Amino acid sequence: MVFKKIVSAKKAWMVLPAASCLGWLAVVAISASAAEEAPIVTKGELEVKPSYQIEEIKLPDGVGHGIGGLAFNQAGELVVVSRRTGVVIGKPAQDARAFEWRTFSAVQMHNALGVLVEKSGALLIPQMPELTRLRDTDGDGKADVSEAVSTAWGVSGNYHETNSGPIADGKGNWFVALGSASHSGPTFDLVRGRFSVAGRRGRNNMSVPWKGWVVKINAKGELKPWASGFRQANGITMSPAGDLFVTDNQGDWKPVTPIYHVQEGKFYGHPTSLVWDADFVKEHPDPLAWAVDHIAEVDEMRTLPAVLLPQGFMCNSASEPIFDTSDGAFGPFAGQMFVGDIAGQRILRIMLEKVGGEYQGAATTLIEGDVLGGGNNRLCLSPDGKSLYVGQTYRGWGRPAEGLKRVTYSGEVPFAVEKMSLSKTGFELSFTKPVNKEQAEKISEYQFSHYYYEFSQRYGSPQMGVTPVVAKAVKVSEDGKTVNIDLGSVLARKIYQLDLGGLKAVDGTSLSHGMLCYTVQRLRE
Amino acid sequence: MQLTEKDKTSLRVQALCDPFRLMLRQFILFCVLVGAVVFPFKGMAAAESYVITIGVVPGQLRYDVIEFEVTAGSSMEVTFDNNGLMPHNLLFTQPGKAMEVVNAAMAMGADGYTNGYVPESGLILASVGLMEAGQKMMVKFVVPVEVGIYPFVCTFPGHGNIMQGVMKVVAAGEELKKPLRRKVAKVKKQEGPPNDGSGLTTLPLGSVEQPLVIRTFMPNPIRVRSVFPNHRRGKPTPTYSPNTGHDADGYIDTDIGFPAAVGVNFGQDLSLCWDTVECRLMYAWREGFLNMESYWGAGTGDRRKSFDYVPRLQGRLVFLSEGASPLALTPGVFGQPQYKGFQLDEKGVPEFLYSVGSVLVAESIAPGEQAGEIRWHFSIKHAPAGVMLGFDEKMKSRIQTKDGKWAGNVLTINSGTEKDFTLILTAEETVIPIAPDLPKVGNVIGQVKRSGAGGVALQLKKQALQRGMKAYVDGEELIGSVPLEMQGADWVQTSQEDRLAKDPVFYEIELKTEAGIFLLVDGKIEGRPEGLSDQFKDSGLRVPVSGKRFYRVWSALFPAGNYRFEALNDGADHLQMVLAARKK
Repeated sequence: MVFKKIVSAKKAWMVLPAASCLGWLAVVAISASAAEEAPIVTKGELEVKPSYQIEEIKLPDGVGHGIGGLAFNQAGELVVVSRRTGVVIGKPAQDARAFEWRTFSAVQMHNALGVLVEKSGALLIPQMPELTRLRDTDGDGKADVSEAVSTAWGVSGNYHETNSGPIADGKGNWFVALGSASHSGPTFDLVRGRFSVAGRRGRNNMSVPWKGWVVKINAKGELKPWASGFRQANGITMSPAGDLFVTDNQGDWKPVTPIYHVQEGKFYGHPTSLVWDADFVKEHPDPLAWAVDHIAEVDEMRTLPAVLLPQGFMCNSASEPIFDTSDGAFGPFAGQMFVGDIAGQRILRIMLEKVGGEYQGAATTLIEGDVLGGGNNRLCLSPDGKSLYVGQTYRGWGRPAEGLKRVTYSGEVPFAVEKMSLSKTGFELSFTKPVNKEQAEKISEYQFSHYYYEFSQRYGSPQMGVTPVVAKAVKVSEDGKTVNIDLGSVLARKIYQLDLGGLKAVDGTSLSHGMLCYTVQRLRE
Repeated sequence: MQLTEKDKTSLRVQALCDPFRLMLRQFILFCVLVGAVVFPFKGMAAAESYVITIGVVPGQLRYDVIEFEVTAGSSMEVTFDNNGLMPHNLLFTQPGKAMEVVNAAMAMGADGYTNGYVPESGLILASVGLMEAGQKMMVKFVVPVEVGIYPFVCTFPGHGNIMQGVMKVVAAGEELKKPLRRKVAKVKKQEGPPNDGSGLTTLPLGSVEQPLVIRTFMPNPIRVRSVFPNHRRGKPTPTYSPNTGHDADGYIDTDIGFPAAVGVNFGQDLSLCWDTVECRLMYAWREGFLNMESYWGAGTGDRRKSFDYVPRLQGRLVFLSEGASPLALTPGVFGQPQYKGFQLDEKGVPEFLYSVGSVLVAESIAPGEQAGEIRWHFSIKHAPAGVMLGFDEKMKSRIQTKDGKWAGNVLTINSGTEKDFTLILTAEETVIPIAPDLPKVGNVIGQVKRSGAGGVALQLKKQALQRGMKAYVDGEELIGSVPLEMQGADWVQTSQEDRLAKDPVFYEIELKTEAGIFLLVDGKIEGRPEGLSDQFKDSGLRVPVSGKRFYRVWSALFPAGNYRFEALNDGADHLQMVLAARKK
């Protein structure tokens, strides 16, 4: 409910310039009440079967706090890594309360964030101090070997230094994203790896090697630094096309939660990580001190995020990202990315496209609400692709929520913007169902605004320069499934927020989610 | 600071140089200024003005105040606290004029944002311009003398028709009703998840049948630096303001613990800490394991103690590592060890695997057959010339083994490259309770005496220098993390008052043995304090102290004897001498 109020609020000020004062008041009143009372999916006056069913999976007693890793193994069983109870494996059942659980390892991992099932059935898990491989060598169904695959990064003793991954590169190596320390906690007097006082300075800091980096680790456990400038990448994934993406978190040098396309050798904005770049340190021994006085240069140096997720109403703390590889079994969004919000009660859907050779795109809500709950930290699709499992935790902060949810596609196609794509002077929307053409041709149905977030050392940025935008023209395709909106011009380095919550399909269905935020980093040539 | 020694040497220390005095005065002046700002402000607010804070309902276009009453003609202070998610402003208008002002704000067009959407209008009584999420600002104004209903409104485009509240101006003498506020839903504190039965505890415990292995931050009760050749040292670091991007006054302390060790528990019989950086059994204890509450929070909570989250040891220590690793004498052992992992045997006991030099080691530690015994098993490969284990006299007396021969304190496990052997570590007669005492480190300082007018007597704290102790007899400041070299040293707790003494104050101490003396000097003094004897060297160590300061540590070795130190007494606010001594 809270979210809907925000939607109506956004609608309110975006309607503003298009109408006279009285008309504007009327529109606000109608849309606000409609959003308030509308069920999630309606068809005319009739409630229809929801597209996604959400269930709480019953876990063994004591398991379910701080879920840090979710994956399916070759036997189709669900592997769950949690903070205080090791690893359990469950045989999924139709009945959410009837999973058959067994303990795979009672060894308690140190804040694991991720799990990869290897061909052998072994589990690769990134803990705070190491990349660990758990193996069952005697076939009794329990891990008896905990192999330290790599200990090649530093450990300072700061509570914040969690690491996520691993992602296989297909050539026998793995990518791991190494988190940073927080100035809200100490480092120890004894640390593993070199200690840098310059690296320890700052809000989020990197006092020991390779914190704030995405690294590549080979089978021998050797570490190759891959890309720098991350703050706290909670998740890392590879697209079906083989591109690496991470979800970082809002904070210092991260004005708002970003999703990055990660490429070798690139720098993604958090300067303290450069304390481990020997060449950079030759010129700037204290990268943070230098950066604070040269923000424009750092801004120029950094590789821009593919997508930004606005704080407050979209995402405050991103989960791991995954790609929809269900080929349609999970709904009409095959190939798109899903990201959970730890602080909010929602799963987001990310529509990526390449513009000027680089990824950018739009974000919108896939599902949200009390039934889902908050703390959405880990995501994984079932082998048949029909269900999305969501591992939850409120560890750290956010709304209280712990446990495991299952989101299953009912087959009822939601009425949604399937894809939002940048055109030369506006956007093209494709819908999952034909739109009501008469309604869709009205310019007033598309409430645009643009804004930006300011890059700096400060902790997050407010929305800056919020500017309502009025569409110049709208063109609906013959089949009613594509709408081209001409804004006259589009500006780079802005988020374009679109609210079209009132639009209905030709069959009367309301949009499942009517707000989209497109991050325009580059313009169409 | 002056330092003289009665019998042997004379160490003369000059008075402080002037620039430092100047700095101190500036510091004191700053304190006075802060006082000047804060106190009158508080007084005024309480005495005359009506004071109110107006916030917002996060995520909604609502102020949290619906209505409040205020006396006609009085003065008032309104703080607008934008605790919401988007930008808002706050404008008080003439009765019935809110929408007129909203429209005027709208008409500002592109200029609106830069001017905080506050239009030029005689209809506005007072305003706080655009506050971004998280910002707040106070405005003072005089309440109109006309009784009436005065709206307040947010004129940010689209907010104005919804985001309004009312200031009711009532006649003087009328009793003011309490402000009417919206209920802002608070996030419910969760006691546990719905499926929590729960099996979750902050006192995890295994058993001999099912040993518990945990990776977490481990406590470090060991005071001997030479045990940790493969760790690097963390250092206190300047505090930092993300707002300005620069260092702030003060230091962030380091804490004491092992960042990458493994904890193993066999119930009440045995717990142990095996470190993956040193690849070594660090310490063992009995009658408990770890209290995780500082790290995990109480119950199912998850409220970490911000700067003090290392789990606490429960029980009594029965073994502490000292000196170099026992394996260091084995031919082929050199350089940094490399941890490979562990495997659980059929009883669930972890066998730690590592390589060091050319040698491969598998090491497991478990309760022995007799109560209190520890069974310490090694399986060694690629040792080119047999295995040699070195211990000190005390450890040797606790070790029983059928394998190998003793030569002095060195146990030699004959030649051959593959060796399996077991040491039985017998129970120690007296075990060391973990809290609150520290392991003993020496008995260095005898008598202490203060001479000089007035003042507070010195307190000798034996083997007591550690984190969390009060720095002065008569002050509230606490000592932060103490470097390993100084932990548990005998310590003379001095008086803060002595810095204000008009006449010289002397501290006399008796060193019972040759000892290292640590002088803790205010960290703002860079370089050698004026007149400090050359015998004292800058140790490079730092000891943080609460109140965002730290001491630099100067140290020197002195033979047994009586020494006299002159206390600093220049009236300065924060230069103070702390004395500690530790056996060489």
